[in-house]
Amino acid sequence: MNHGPLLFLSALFSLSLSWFGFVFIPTWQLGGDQPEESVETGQTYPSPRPGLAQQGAEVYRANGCYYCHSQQVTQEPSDFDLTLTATGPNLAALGRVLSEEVRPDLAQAAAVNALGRLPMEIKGLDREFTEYLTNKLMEAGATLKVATVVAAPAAAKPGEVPAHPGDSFTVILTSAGKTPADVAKLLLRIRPSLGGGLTVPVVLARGLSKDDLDKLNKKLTTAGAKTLVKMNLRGVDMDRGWGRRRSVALDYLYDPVVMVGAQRMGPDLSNIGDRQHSRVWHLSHLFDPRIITSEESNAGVDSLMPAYPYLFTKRPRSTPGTPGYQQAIRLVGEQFEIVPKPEAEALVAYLQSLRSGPGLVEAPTPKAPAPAAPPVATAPTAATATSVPAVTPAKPAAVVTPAPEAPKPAPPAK
Amino acid sequence: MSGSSIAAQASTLPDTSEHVGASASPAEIDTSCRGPLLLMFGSAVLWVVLASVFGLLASVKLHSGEFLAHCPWLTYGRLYPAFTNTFLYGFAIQAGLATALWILCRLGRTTLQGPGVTMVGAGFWNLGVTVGLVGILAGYNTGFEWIEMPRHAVLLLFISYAVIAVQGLLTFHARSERQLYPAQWYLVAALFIFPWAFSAASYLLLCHPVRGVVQLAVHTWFASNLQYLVLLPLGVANLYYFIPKILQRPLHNSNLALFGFGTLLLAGGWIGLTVSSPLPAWLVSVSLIAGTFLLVPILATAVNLHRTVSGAYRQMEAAGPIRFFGFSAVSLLIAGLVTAVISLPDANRSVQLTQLLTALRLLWLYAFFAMGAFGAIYYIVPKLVGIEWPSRKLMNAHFWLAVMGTVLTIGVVAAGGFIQGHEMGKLGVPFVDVIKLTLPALRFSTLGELLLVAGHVMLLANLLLVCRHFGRACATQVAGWCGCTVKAGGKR
Ligand code: HEC
Repeated sequence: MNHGPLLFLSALFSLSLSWFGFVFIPTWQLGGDQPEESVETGQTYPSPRPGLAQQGAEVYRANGCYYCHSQQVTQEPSDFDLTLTATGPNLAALGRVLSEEVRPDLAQAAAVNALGRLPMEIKGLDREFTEYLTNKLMEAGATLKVATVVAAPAAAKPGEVPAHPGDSFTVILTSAGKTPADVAKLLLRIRPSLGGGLTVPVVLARGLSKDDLDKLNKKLTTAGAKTLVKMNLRGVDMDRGWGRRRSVALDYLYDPVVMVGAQRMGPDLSNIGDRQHSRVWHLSHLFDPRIITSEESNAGVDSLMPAYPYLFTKRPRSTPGTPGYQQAIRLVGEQFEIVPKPEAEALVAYLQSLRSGPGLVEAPTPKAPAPAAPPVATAPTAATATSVPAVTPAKPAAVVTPAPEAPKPAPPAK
Repeated sequence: MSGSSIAAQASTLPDTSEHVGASASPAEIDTSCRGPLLLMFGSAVLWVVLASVFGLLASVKLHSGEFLAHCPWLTYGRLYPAFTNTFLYGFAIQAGLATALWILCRLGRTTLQGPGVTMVGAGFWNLGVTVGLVGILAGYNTGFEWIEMPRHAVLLLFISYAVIAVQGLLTFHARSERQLYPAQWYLVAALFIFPWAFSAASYLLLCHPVRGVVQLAVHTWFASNLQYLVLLPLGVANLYYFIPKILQRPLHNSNLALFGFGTLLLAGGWIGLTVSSPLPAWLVSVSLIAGTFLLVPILATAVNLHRTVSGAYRQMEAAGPIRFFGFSAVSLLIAGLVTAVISLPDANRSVQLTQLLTALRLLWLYAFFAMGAFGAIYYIVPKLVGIEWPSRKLMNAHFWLAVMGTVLTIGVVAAGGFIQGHEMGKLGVPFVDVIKLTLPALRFSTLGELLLVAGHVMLLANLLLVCRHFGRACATQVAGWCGCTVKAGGKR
């Protein structure tokens, strides 16, 4: 028998299966994606890039910036905070849930609090238990009295048959002594409602996983309490200022070539346009990253990023009126100036267009939006002739012509 | 699948009996393969030397940003894809194909079909790689890792691949030995899958790009197929063929090999997404599960090889091609384990976007695949030309340089990646500090790359010596005889 066809079929089967999962379904699921209305700003998001920035994306691709820079903000799975906002009518049930499963310490504290309102009567006890309780309470340092109510079987709780029908005892606690916590612990067992009497609102737990949250929340609400759930968006990327929320499929909708990147030899650039607006900063950084980093980082690490001098023409300092004078960047302490080539201008326009998207249903933002940065379209691109310091000198002295879009004191490179 | 019935028929020792009926003799086979295979192996070796030089330069640039900064063709973002693409297409696939052709001939006891056509195909393949390489260096990078070559190069590669692979399939079809040996399954599957995945991906990414992140999905699908369903089967076939053959021990169990084959086909096309990929969560989960599941076929292969060799481990250390296969087999196991571990969601969260993934890729492509391919070259070339390797020393030097280079590069890059992931995951650590910590690793890896280049140069030198001897032998033959049917090729 010839097994060729069988081999062919098994290879075809395997390939089509993964093709189906990786190509067909995503195309069907995401291929028809349309811009969406942001829950945060109410505007439609995203919108296509302006032409110059689009050309810049090609420069970015041709020079392989994406081998070192990702454009993908990650986020750890969200966790939750649970707050108790109202205790509800059934204090006993709540106290039991709290002291047994959720927060024994809070329940105990509530009970200690209740001990401030002595004397307290504990009624309807049988002889044996009364002895046990008094012993324990006295061991814990409490002072108490015991009263006997004779022949009141009806007072016994239903289902709890007193050992000697007819005798019922009442323990009257008059002082909790020096260790109210121990006393409270004992009391909680017979009087769980003591633990339910907390002052609300109180945070019951932080950093819960979704499963734990659901479990706890269910118990508390069955006990009649009201709760409030807060979702925390955690993320080291966001902590580094690389974005306000995680990246989602929609963010890449208008990228002709999606360059999410697989490596982070340099910082994530998804929102570099928010972090760094200055054209001059970007150009100088591209010309020689070490000019910028040695100036900014007090850690004294030189940048690992390659320099891109070939995106510029270097020439002796020109005088006003020379073509290109406006665009040129004069590095302080250097006899030359650099004139960015069109690719460099496009690349910078692209970098400036990389911004954090607004909050979406599938990826909300944690806080209110930061004050909006000037949109790319209106950012002056060509009218800036500014000097940036070469290597060391102090910043203010270095700026010869204050740019309309003055290089903001850039946030320390993270 | 009727795998078991086939397994029952499968022979357990590759091409033992020398002549059966009308089947071709090894000598005839080697003669038929000589031209195309020498061309393919020769170019593959040239490409691997070039690739490793690119790799070395890229690795220097990674820690010295000023180095060669003025030349746009030599910027990091162009050198790196030049390295991966010449390595993959120039060396790995080419050497893999050539080995596949030879094994298919030997196992099927038939001569290579259409050696002339194959040679033309191989010529165009190399032209394709050259065009692609120039395209990448000139800045026509497509933006998708592993198919960074511009469209026309991709088309050229596709057509020339089809030409060669069709010869392979015809050879398979023409086999006079009807029983299948496990290596053949792996080879034929790889021969089929590459053109499909390659053409589908280039169509959906380069010709009619799909929208948005679907590109990421398509691209991951392609990369996974290329790595796990083309290169991995080619490499495994090498191990299944050469180890039993050289040691003259039957393969432990063909059913186990077929089980590995089936499970590999299931898992291989799905691997490579990371937890934070901006794609639907189910797809990411499937991808991670497949990564862990890959351990099943790898373990099946490892156990099978272990049982085959068991008791003869000493022989695996002997100088010669066998050592390369041994190293490749061990790397396969390690790579499978690491892939499985980093596919666990928590581990994946920590190592995604770090150098650890680069190290893992080197482990698959270099320590596993390339070492096996070197072994195959060392084994096959003397058979083709009928001359032993002129320098045993060069071969040993290559082996040790490659071993040291691989262990050093991969170990150091992996350690750097691990630190990088660990530090990146901490709140309040500035990114510059993270990179500063990985800097020593980056510096050391340059040393490893240097060793690799040196190793490849040894191989090239040895091959050049072979050419000289072979050329001389040819010349004497031509002088003494009419036509260039070299007798030397006849000895086994
Ligand atoms: C070899 C890896 C590498 C390549 C390639 C690379 N970069 Fe970088 N990049 C870095 C590193 C490392 C840093 C951090 C140090 C610094 O700011 O210079 C950085 C920083 C940056 C920053 C500043 C980020 C911030 O948070 O302040 C920008 C913008 C940038 N790179 C853009 C680019 C562009 C555009 C390209 C392509 C032309 C590119 N990079 C290519 C490694 C790289």
